[in-house]
Amino acid sequence: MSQVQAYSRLAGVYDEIVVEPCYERWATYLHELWESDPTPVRTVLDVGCGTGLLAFELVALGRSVVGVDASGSMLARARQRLGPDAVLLEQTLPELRVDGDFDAIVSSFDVLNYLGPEQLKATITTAAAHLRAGGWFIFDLHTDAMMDFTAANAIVSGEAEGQHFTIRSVVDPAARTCDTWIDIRRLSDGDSFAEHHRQFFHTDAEVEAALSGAGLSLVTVTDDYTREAISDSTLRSTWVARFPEARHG
Amino acid sequence: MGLLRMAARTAVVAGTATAVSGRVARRQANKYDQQAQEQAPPPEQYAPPPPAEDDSMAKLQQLADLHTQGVLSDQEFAAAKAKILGI
Repeated sequence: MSQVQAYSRLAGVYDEIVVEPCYERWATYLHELWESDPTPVRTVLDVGCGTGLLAFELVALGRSVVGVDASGSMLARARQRLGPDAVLLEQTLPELRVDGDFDAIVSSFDVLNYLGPEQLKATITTAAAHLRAGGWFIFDLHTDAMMDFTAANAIVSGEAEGQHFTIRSVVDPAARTCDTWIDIRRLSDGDSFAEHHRQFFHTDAEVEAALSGAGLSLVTVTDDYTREAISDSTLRSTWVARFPEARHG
Repeated sequence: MGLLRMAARTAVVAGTATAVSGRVARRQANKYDQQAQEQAPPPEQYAPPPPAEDDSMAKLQQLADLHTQGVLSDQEFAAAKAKILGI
Protein backbone atom coordinates (compact mmCIF):
# COMPACT_ATOMS: atom_id res chain seq x y z
CA MET A 1 0.00 0.00 0.00
CA SER A 2 1.32 3.42 -0.86
CA GLN A 3 2.04 6.17 1.61
CA VAL A 4 -0.94 8.06 0.27
CA GLN A 5 -3.54 5.32 0.67
CA ALA A 6 -2.31 4.59 4.17
CA TYR A 7 -3.71 7.87 5.40
CA SER A 8 -6.90 8.29 3.43
CA ARG A 9 -9.28 7.27 6.21
CA LEU A 10 -6.99 7.69 9.18
CA ALA A 11 -6.73 11.40 8.44
CA GLY A 12 -10.28 11.83 9.68
CA VAL A 13 -9.48 10.68 13.21
CA TYR A 14 -5.74 11.25 13.26
CA ASP A 15 -5.63 14.32 15.49
CA GLU A 16 -8.22 12.82 17.81
CA ILE A 17 -6.80 9.41 18.54
CA VAL A 18 -3.35 8.87 17.04
CA VAL A 19 -1.19 11.79 18.05
CA GLU A 20 0.04 12.47 21.50
CA PRO A 21 0.18 15.96 22.96
CA CYS A 22 3.86 16.47 22.24
CA TYR A 23 4.08 19.10 19.54
CA GLU A 24 4.36 22.12 21.78
CA ARG A 25 7.25 20.51 23.63
CA TRP A 26 8.94 19.46 20.39
CA ALA A 27 8.58 22.93 18.92
CA THR A 28 10.07 24.43 22.07
CA TYR A 29 13.03 22.05 21.81
CA LEU A 30 13.58 23.06 18.17
CA HIS A 31 13.13 26.73 18.95
CA GLU A 32 15.76 26.64 21.71
CA LEU A 33 18.17 24.72 19.51
CA TRP A 34 17.80 27.23 16.69
CA GLU A 35 18.21 30.18 19.01
CA SER A 36 21.82 29.00 19.42
CA ASP A 37 22.43 29.69 15.70
CA PRO A 38 23.93 33.16 15.08
CA THR A 39 22.19 33.12 11.68
CA PRO A 40 18.48 33.34 12.43
CA VAL A 41 16.33 30.32 11.57
CA ARG A 42 13.29 31.80 9.85
CA THR A 43 12.32 29.38 7.10
CA VAL A 44 11.48 25.78 7.88
CA LEU A 45 10.55 22.93 5.56
CA ASP A 46 8.34 20.37 7.31
CA VAL A 47 8.75 17.07 5.48
CA GLY A 48 5.77 14.82 6.19
CA CYS A 49 3.86 17.63 7.84
CA GLY A 50 0.68 15.55 8.15
CA THR A 51 -2.16 17.57 9.62
CA GLY A 52 0.18 20.46 10.39
CA LEU A 53 0.41 20.07 14.17
CA LEU A 54 4.15 20.78 14.41
CA ALA A 55 4.03 23.42 11.67
CA PHE A 56 1.32 25.23 13.63
CA GLU A 57 3.53 25.39 16.73
CA LEU A 58 6.54 26.54 14.72
CA VAL A 59 4.52 29.30 13.07
CA ALA A 60 3.43 30.38 16.55
CA LEU A 61 7.12 30.67 17.41
CA GLY A 62 7.68 33.03 14.50
CA ARG A 63 8.87 30.65 11.79
CA SER A 64 7.74 30.60 8.21
CA VAL A 65 6.89 26.98 7.39
CA VAL A 66 6.42 25.14 4.11
CA GLY A 67 4.74 21.74 4.50
CA VAL A 68 5.12 18.70 2.29
CA ASP A 69 3.12 15.50 2.64
CA ALA A 70 2.18 12.51 0.52
CA SER A 71 -1.43 12.47 1.68
CA GLY A 72 -4.02 14.89 0.33
CA SER A 73 -6.40 14.02 3.18
CA MET A 74 -3.81 14.89 5.81
CA LEU A 75 -2.94 18.11 3.95
CA ALA A 76 -6.61 19.08 3.87
CA ARG A 77 -6.61 19.07 7.66
CA ALA A 78 -3.31 20.97 7.68
CA ARG A 79 -4.92 23.57 5.41
CA GLN A 80 -7.77 24.06 7.89
CA ARG A 81 -5.27 24.44 10.71
CA LEU A 82 -2.74 26.72 8.98
CA GLY A 83 -5.01 28.84 6.83
CA PRO A 84 -5.32 29.66 3.13
CA ASP A 85 -1.92 31.32 2.80
CA ALA A 86 0.15 28.39 4.06
CA VAL A 87 2.35 26.72 1.44
CA LEU A 88 1.42 23.03 1.50
CA LEU A 89 2.61 20.66 -1.19
CA GLU A 90 1.45 17.15 -2.01
CA GLN A 91 4.58 15.14 -2.80
CA THR A 92 5.79 11.63 -2.09
CA LEU A 93 9.30 11.16 -0.72
CA PRO A 94 12.03 11.01 -1.86
CA GLU A 95 10.56 13.54 -4.27
CA LEU A 96 11.02 17.01 -2.80
CA ARG A 97 10.36 19.80 -5.25
CA VAL A 98 10.50 23.07 -3.37
CA ASP A 99 11.92 26.46 -4.20
CA GLY A 100 14.98 27.82 -2.48
CA ASP A 101 17.09 26.86 0.47
CA PHE A 102 15.74 26.59 3.98
CA ASP A 103 17.26 27.49 7.33
CA ALA A 104 15.98 24.20 8.69
CA ILE A 105 14.24 21.02 7.60
CA VAL A 106 12.28 18.90 10.05
CA SER A 107 10.73 15.48 9.64
CA SER A 108 8.89 14.40 12.74
CA PHE A 109 6.80 11.57 14.16
CA ASP A 110 8.70 8.75 12.41
CA VAL A 111 7.99 9.97 8.89
CA LEU A 112 11.39 8.67 7.76
CA ASN A 113 10.56 5.19 9.10
CA TYR A 114 8.13 4.90 6.19
CA LEU A 115 11.06 4.87 3.79
CA GLY A 116 13.13 1.85 2.80
CA PRO A 117 16.92 2.17 3.10
CA GLU A 118 17.41 3.41 -0.47
CA GLN A 119 14.56 5.91 -0.22
CA LEU A 120 15.94 7.15 3.08
CA LYS A 121 19.30 7.79 1.49
CA ALA A 122 17.71 9.59 -1.45
CA THR A 123 15.51 11.68 0.83
CA ILE A 124 18.40 12.79 3.04
CA THR A 125 20.41 13.72 -0.05
CA THR A 126 17.52 15.76 -1.47
CA ALA A 127 16.90 17.43 1.87
CA ALA A 128 20.56 18.42 2.18
CA ALA A 129 20.34 20.06 -1.24
CA HIS A 130 17.64 22.39 0.13
CA LEU A 131 19.59 23.63 3.17
CA ARG A 132 21.52 26.85 3.45
CA ALA A 133 25.10 26.79 4.75
CA GLY A 134 24.86 25.92 8.43
CA GLY A 135 21.24 24.84 7.97
CA TRP A 136 19.63 22.24 10.24
CA PHE A 137 18.10 18.87 9.45
CA ILE A 138 16.27 17.42 12.43
CA PHE A 139 14.23 14.23 12.41
CA ASP A 140 13.15 11.42 14.66
CA LEU A 141 13.27 7.68 14.20
CA HIS A 142 12.09 4.56 15.96
CA THR A 143 14.87 2.90 17.96
CA ASP A 144 15.72 -0.76 18.29
CA ALA A 145 13.99 -0.60 21.68
CA MET A 146 10.81 0.33 19.77
CA MET A 147 11.32 -2.62 17.46
CA ASP A 148 11.63 -4.98 20.45
CA PHE A 149 8.74 -3.33 22.24
CA THR A 150 6.47 -3.66 19.21
CA ALA A 151 7.46 -7.29 18.66
CA ALA A 152 6.59 -8.02 22.28
CA ASN A 153 3.27 -6.16 22.12
CA ALA A 154 1.93 -7.38 18.81
CA ILE A 155 -1.74 -6.69 19.49
CA VAL A 156 -2.97 -3.68 21.37
CA SER A 157 -6.49 -2.40 21.55
CA GLY A 158 -8.30 0.35 23.32
CA GLU A 159 -10.87 3.10 23.07
CA ALA A 160 -10.42 6.80 22.53
CA GLU A 161 -12.77 9.61 21.59
CA GLY A 162 -15.67 7.29 20.83
CA GLN A 163 -13.60 4.98 18.64
CA HIS A 164 -12.46 1.44 19.33
CA PHE A 165 -9.11 0.61 17.82
CA THR A 166 -6.96 -2.47 17.43
CA ILE A 167 -3.35 -2.22 16.32
CA ARG A 168 -1.67 -5.40 15.13
CA SER A 169 2.02 -5.38 14.29
CA VAL A 170 4.24 -7.97 12.70
CA VAL A 171 7.92 -7.24 13.16
CA ASP A 172 10.51 -8.95 11.02
CA PRO A 173 13.72 -8.42 13.00
CA ALA A 174 15.94 -9.75 10.21
CA ALA A 175 14.48 -7.49 7.55
CA ARG A 176 14.01 -4.72 10.17
CA THR A 177 10.47 -4.07 8.97
CA CYS A 178 7.16 -3.72 10.71
CA ASP A 179 3.76 -4.22 9.12
CA THR A 180 1.03 -2.60 11.13
CA TRP A 181 -2.70 -2.91 10.66
CA ILE A 182 -5.04 -0.58 12.45
CA ASP A 183 -8.76 -1.30 12.68
CA ILE A 184 -10.95 1.53 13.84
CA ARG A 185 -14.63 1.25 14.66
CA ARG A 186 -16.80 4.18 15.64
CA LEU A 187 -18.79 3.15 18.70
CA SER A 188 -21.84 5.27 17.90
CA ASP A 189 -22.76 3.63 14.58
CA GLY A 190 -20.27 0.80 14.06
CA ASP A 191 -18.72 2.46 11.00
CA SER A 192 -15.29 0.90 10.61
CA PHE A 193 -12.22 0.86 8.45
CA ALA A 194 -8.78 -0.72 8.42
CA GLU A 195 -5.43 0.49 7.19
CA HIS A 196 -2.05 -1.08 6.67
CA HIS A 197 1.21 0.75 7.27
CA ARG A 198 4.71 -0.53 6.64
CA GLN A 199 7.68 0.91 8.43
CA PHE A 200 11.41 0.26 8.47
CA PHE A 201 13.77 0.30 11.43
CA HIS A 202 16.94 1.93 10.18
CA THR A 203 20.25 1.08 11.78
CA ASP A 204 22.33 3.91 13.20
CA ALA A 205 25.08 3.00 10.73
CA GLU A 206 22.69 3.37 7.77
CA VAL A 207 21.50 6.76 8.92
CA GLU A 208 25.01 7.99 9.68
CA ALA A 209 26.21 6.85 6.25
CA ALA A 210 23.27 8.56 4.53
CA LEU A 211 23.94 11.81 6.39
CA SER A 212 27.62 11.83 5.66
CA GLY A 213 26.99 10.84 2.04
CA ALA A 214 24.76 13.92 1.75
CA GLY A 215 27.48 16.14 3.19
CA LEU A 216 25.69 16.65 6.51
CA SER A 217 27.41 16.58 9.91
CA LEU A 218 25.71 14.75 12.74
CA VAL A 219 25.58 17.03 15.77
CA THR A 220 23.80 14.82 18.28
CA VAL A 221 21.26 12.05 18.78
CA THR A 222 19.05 12.45 21.84
CA ASP A 223 16.04 10.96 23.55
CA ASP A 224 12.73 12.13 22.12
CA TYR A 225 13.27 15.88 21.57
CA THR A 226 15.12 16.42 24.82
CA ARG A 227 18.76 17.02 25.62
CA GLU A 228 18.96 13.64 27.34
CA ALA A 229 21.22 10.96 25.92
CA ILE A 230 19.74 7.86 24.33
CA SER A 231 19.17 4.96 26.72
CA ASP A 232 17.99 1.36 26.38
CA SER A 233 14.45 2.55 26.99
CA THR A 234 14.42 5.27 24.34
CA LEU A 235 11.63 4.49 21.90
CA ARG A 236 12.15 7.55 19.74
CA SER A 237 15.51 9.09 18.93
CA THR A 238 15.91 12.65 17.72
CA TRP A 239 18.70 13.29 15.22
CA VAL A 240 20.25 16.72 14.75
CA ALA A 241 22.41 17.23 11.68
CA ARG A 242 23.73 20.36 10.00
CA PHE A 243 24.96 21.42 6.63
CA PRO A 244 28.54 22.74 6.93
CA GLU A 245 29.09 26.47 7.17
CA ALA A 246 30.43 27.99 3.96
CA ARG A 247 34.18 28.34 3.88
CA HIS A 248 35.31 31.91 4.01
CA GLY A 249 37.99 33.43 1.78
CA MET B 1 3.16 9.08 12.02
CA GLY B 2 2.86 7.42 15.29
CA LEU B 3 0.95 4.15 15.02
CA LEU B 4 3.64 2.29 16.94
CA ARG B 5 3.75 5.10 19.46
CA MET B 6 -0.01 4.90 19.81
CA ALA B 7 0.27 1.14 20.41
CA ALA B 8 3.12 1.59 22.90
CA ARG B 9 1.30 4.35 24.76
CA THR B 10 -1.91 2.33 24.90
CA ALA B 11 -0.13 -0.78 26.18
CA VAL B 12 1.78 1.17 28.79
CA VAL B 13 -1.16 3.20 30.02
CA ALA B 14 -3.43 0.14 30.11
CA GLY B 15 -0.73 -1.76 31.98
CA THR B 16 -0.69 -4.55 29.41
CA ALA B 17 2.83 -3.89 28.13
CA THR B 18 4.68 -7.18 28.26
CA ALA B 19 7.66 -8.04 30.40
CA VAL B 20 10.36 -8.09 27.76
CA SER B 21 10.35 -4.37 27.89
CA GLY B 22 9.57 -3.84 31.54
CA ARG B 23 12.18 -1.14 31.84
CA VAL B 24 10.86 0.63 28.77
CA ALA B 25 7.32 0.37 30.07
CA ARG B 26 8.21 1.81 33.47
CA ARG B 27 10.08 4.71 31.98
CA GLN B 28 7.38 5.45 29.43
CA ALA B 29 4.68 5.14 32.08
CA ASN B 30 6.44 7.87 34.08
CA LYS B 31 6.47 10.06 30.99
CA TYR B 32 2.78 9.54 30.32
CA ASP B 33 1.94 10.23 33.96
CA GLN B 34 3.89 13.45 33.72
CA GLN B 35 2.13 14.45 30.51
CA ALA B 36 -1.24 13.65 32.01
CA GLN B 37 -0.49 15.85 34.98
CA GLU B 38 0.65 18.70 32.75
CA GLN B 39 -2.57 18.47 30.82
CA ALA B 40 -4.85 18.03 33.77
CA PRO B 41 -7.18 20.99 34.15
CA PRO B 42 -6.56 23.18 37.19
CA PRO B 43 -8.65 22.21 40.22
CA GLU B 44 -12.12 23.66 40.05
CA GLN B 45 -12.67 26.87 41.93
CA TYR B 46 -15.35 26.60 44.56
CA ALA B 47 -18.25 28.91 43.92
CA PRO B 48 -18.32 31.79 46.41
CA PRO B 49 -21.08 31.53 49.02
CA PRO B 50 -24.25 33.26 47.88
CA PRO B 51 -25.04 36.61 49.43
CA ALA B 52 -27.25 36.68 52.55
CA GLU B 53 -30.51 37.74 50.89
CA ASP B 54 -30.29 34.83 48.46
CA ASP B 55 -29.91 32.60 51.46
CA SER B 56 -33.42 33.54 52.68
CA MET B 57 -34.89 32.95 49.25
CA ALA B 58 -33.28 29.54 49.05
CA LYS B 59 -34.65 28.60 52.46
CA LEU B 60 -38.12 29.75 51.47
CA GLN B 61 -37.90 27.73 48.29
CA GLN B 62 -36.88 24.67 50.31
CA LEU B 63 -39.75 25.21 52.69
CA ALA B 64 -42.20 25.64 49.81
CA ASP B 65 -40.96 22.34 48.35
CA LEU B 66 -41.37 20.60 51.69
CA HIS B 67 -44.86 22.05 51.98
CA THR B 68 -45.79 20.89 48.47
CA GLN B 69 -44.48 17.43 49.22
CA GLY B 70 -46.64 17.34 52.34
CA VAL B 71 -43.69 17.17 54.71
CA LEU B 72 -44.75 20.42 56.34
CA SER B 73 -48.35 21.14 57.26
CA ASP B 74 -49.95 24.48 56.34
CA GLN B 75 -49.42 25.71 59.86
CA GLU B 76 -45.78 24.65 60.06
CA PHE B 77 -45.06 26.20 56.68
CA ALA B 78 -46.71 29.50 57.64
CA ALA B 79 -44.77 29.63 60.93
CA ALA B 80 -41.42 28.87 59.34
CA LYS B 81 -42.06 31.38 56.55
CA ALA B 82 -42.92 34.08 59.05
CA LYS B 83 -39.71 33.36 60.96
CA ILE B 84 -37.54 33.69 57.88
CA LEU B 85 -39.23 36.84 56.69
CA GLY B 86 -39.17 38.28 60.23
CA ILE B 87 -42.90 38.99 60.35
